[in-house]
Amino acid sequence: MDDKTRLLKVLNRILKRLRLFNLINYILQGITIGLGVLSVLSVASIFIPVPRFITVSIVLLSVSLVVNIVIGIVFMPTLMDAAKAADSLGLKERTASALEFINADDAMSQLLLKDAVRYVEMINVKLHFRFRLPKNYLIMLFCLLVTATVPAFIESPAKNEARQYEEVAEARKEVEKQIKEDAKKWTDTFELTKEMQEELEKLLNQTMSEVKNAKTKEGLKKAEDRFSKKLEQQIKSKIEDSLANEMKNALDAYMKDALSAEEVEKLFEEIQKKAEALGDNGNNDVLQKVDAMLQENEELQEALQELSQLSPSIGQMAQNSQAGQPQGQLSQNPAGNQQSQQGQQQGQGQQGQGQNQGQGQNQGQGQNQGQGQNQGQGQGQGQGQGQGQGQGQGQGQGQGQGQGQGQGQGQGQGWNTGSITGHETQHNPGSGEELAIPNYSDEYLTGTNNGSGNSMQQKADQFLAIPGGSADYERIHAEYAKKAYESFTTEKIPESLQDIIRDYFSDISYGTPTNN
Amino acid sequence: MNEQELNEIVDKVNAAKAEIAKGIIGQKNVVNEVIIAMLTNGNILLEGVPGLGKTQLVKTIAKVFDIQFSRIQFTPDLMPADVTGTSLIVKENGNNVFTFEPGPVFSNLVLADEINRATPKTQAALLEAMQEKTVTVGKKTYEMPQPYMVLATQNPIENEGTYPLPEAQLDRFMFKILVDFPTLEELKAIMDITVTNKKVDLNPVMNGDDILKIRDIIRDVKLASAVEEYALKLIVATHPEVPGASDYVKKYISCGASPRAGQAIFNASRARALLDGRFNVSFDDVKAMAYPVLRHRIIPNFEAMADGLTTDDMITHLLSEVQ
Repeated sequence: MDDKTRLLKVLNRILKRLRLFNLINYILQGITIGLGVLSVLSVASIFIPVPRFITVSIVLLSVSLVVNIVIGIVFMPTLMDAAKAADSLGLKERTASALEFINADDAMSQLLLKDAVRYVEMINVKLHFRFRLPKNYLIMLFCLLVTATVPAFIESPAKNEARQYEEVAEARKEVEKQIKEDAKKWTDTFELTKEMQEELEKLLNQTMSEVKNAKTKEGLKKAEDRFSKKLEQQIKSKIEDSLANEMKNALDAYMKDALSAEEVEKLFEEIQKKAEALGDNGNNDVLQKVDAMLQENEELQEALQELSQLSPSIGQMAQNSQAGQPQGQLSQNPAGNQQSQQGQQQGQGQQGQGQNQGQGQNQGQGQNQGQGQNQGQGQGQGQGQGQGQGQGQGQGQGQGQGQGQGQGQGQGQGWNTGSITGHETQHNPGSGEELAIPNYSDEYLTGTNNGSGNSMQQKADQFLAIPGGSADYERIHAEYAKKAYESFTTEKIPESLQDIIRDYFSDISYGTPTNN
Repeated sequence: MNEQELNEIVDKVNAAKAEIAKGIIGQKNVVNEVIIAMLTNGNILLEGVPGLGKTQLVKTIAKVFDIQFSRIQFTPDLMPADVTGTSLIVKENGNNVFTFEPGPVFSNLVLADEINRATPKTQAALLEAMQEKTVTVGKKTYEMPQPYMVLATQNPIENEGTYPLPEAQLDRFMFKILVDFPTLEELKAIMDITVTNKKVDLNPVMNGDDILKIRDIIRDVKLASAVEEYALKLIVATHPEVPGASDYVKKYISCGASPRAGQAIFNASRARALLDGRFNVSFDDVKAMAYPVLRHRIIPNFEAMADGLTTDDMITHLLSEVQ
C-alpha cells in the first residue's frame, strides 16, 4: 500500500467519526435550541395565552431539530477537516499539508506525505476521536427540560383563555368550511351573472372577515347566520327571479312558436333542477314568482296548460310544486278524496230560470295535476267532476261541488296553483288582489262575483292545504312596511338601504304606505 | 533530496547551534533566528544594550559556518566609500590605472556595528548591498560574495547623536532581533568563559556551500493554503487603513507591514519548519516568525507609545485576533 492510500485510509476512518459526531452535535444543538425556545414559551404561557401550546411546542422542537439536521448534513466535514482534526493532535499541519499536496510528485511532497503517514498512523482513531458530551452541557439540557415541562402543568387564567381560543379556532375552521361549501354549491349549481358573482364574493369576503374576527363561538354562529340570511335574501332572490324569468321567457317563446314543447320541457327540466338546488323550499318560491307572472298574462297560462298536458316534465314541475304542500291544493288529486271548491262558484241568474252553470277550472302544481270542469244544472245545484292525472299513478279523480242559489247565471273560474311554501294564490275574475297568508287560518276569501250575483265565502282552511288563508293586501302591506320601518331603529341599516326599503314599500303599495 | 539528506542538514544545523552555544551563552532564540535569516538570505538588525555579546555572536557564527567575516564600526564621520570601497590609482605595468579596492562590505558576513551612529548617507551605502547583493562604484557594479548577510546592531538607549534608520532601510532587514539581558545562570556561564583562562575552541561545522544548498531546499518546503492564508491575513491585519481593520490596529498602528514582510515570513517559516525536521510549514512557524519579521515593520503611533505598548505587544494582539 502506498503512502497516499495509507494516509487516505486513516483520514477516512477519522472522517466517518467526525461526520457522525457532527450530526450528533447538530441534533443536540437542535434539541437545545428547541428546548430553550420551548422553555421561554412554556414560562410565558403562564402569563399570556399561548393557543395550541402542545402543537406549537412540537412544531418548534421539530423545526429546530430538522433545521439543525439539515445544517449538519449540508455542512458535513470533509477530508480536509479530518486532516485538520488529525493535525489538532499536535501534528503541526503535517496531515493537512500532505493532503493538499497528495498528488504532487516532487521530492518534497513525497517526503511530506511519508512524514505525515508516519505520524497519522500513530493516531488511535477510536481513542482520540471519541464523542464526549460535556457534563455542563448535560446539566444545561436537564435544566431546559425541566423549565420547558414544569410550567406546562401549572394552571392559570391565561391558559384557560388559550384553551377557549383553541375551541373557537376549531369552530372557526368548521364554519369557514361550511360557508365555503355553501358558496361553492351556489357557484357550481347556478350560472351566476357577473353581478351575482361579485355580490357573492363580496358577501363571502365580508363573512370570512367576520368569522376571522369573531372571538367567541356565538360570534361565529352569528356570522354564519348572517351569511345564510344574506345569501337567502340577495343571491337566492336574484336566482329565483332569474329562473322565473327563464320560465316566463320559455313560455313566451313557446307562444311565439320560437320554441317547441320539447325545448320548453328541456328548459323547464333545467330550471327545475336549479330551483331544487336552491333549497327545500326554493322550488316553490320560483313557482310562486312564475305564478305571479302568469297571473298577469292569460296567454302564458294557456301555454303552461298546454305544455302541462303535452309534457310530462312540466307536469312534473307542477307536481314538484305540490310536493311542498302537505295536502295539495288541487281540485283533484290521485286519491280523489278531496273536494275542490276553489274552482266552483255559484251564481244566481238574473232571469231566475233556475239554471246555473258553473265552470271551474283548476290547475294545481304539485304532485297532482288535475283539470276539472264542473257543470251544474238544475236549481241551485251544480255538480262538477274533474279529472286529474297524478304522476306515475295514472288517474286521479276529484269532485267539486258547488251550490248556488238565486236567479240568473253565474260563471266562476278558479285558478289555483300551489307553491312550495304552501302559499296559494287565487284568481277570481272581478275580485280584488288577494294575498295568501299561511298563518291566518281564520281569514275568509273575499271574492265578488261579476254582475250582481253573490259570492260565497268559505273558510280558507277548508280548501287550503296548509294552515292560513288570504288577507287583504293593503293590510298586510301596511304591517310589513311597519315592521320594516321599525327595524330602522332597532337594527343597523345603512341610510342608503333604508331609502331602498322605503322605495320598495312605496312601489308595491296601492295606497299611501305607512311610514313610521 | 531524500529524507536522509534532510536529516543530515538538520543534524548539521543542530551541530552548528551547539557549536555556537559554546561561544554564546543563552540567547537560543537569537541564535536560532540568526541562523534562519542566514539560511533564507536575509539581513538582521540586532538591537540590544551594549555588552550583550552581539559582536561576539556574529564572530562566532562566522567561525562556525566557516564564512568570511568583516566588521564596520559605524561612526558619524564614516563615509560611504569607507563601507563600499573605492577606486584607487595604482601602477600596473608602468601605467596608472584605477583599481577598485573593495570595502569591508565585501564579505560573507558583515557586522555593521551601531549602524544608527552613521549618517543616513553612509547607512544608505549599505542598502544596495543588503537588498541587491551588489555594490556599484562609479559605473561598475560588483557582486557580493555568496552567501552574503549583513548583521547590523543598534543601541536602543543612547539616542543622542544617532541617526535612526528610515523605514525604507528598516524594511530591508528581514529580522529585527532583540537581544535580551541574560538570565543569572547564563550570566554566570558568560563570566566563566570570559574572565577565566578557559578557552573556547570553535570548529567550523558548515560552510558557505552548505548554506546555499539549504537555501534551495528551504524554498521547496510546503506551505499549505490554510497556513499561507493565515500568514497573509496577519500581514494585512497590521494595516489600519484596510477595510475591516480592527479597532486596536486603528488605534495604535500608524503604518503596517509591507509585502516584503510577507516574503520574509514565508521564507522564515519554511526555514524554521525544515530546521524542525518537517517538510511543511505549520501555524506555529508563522506565529514564531511573526515577531522578528513584523517587529520593525509595524510603526506604532503616538497613542501606542503613550500607552507604553511595544510592537511585540501589538504582534501578540494580532496573533490572537487573526484566525
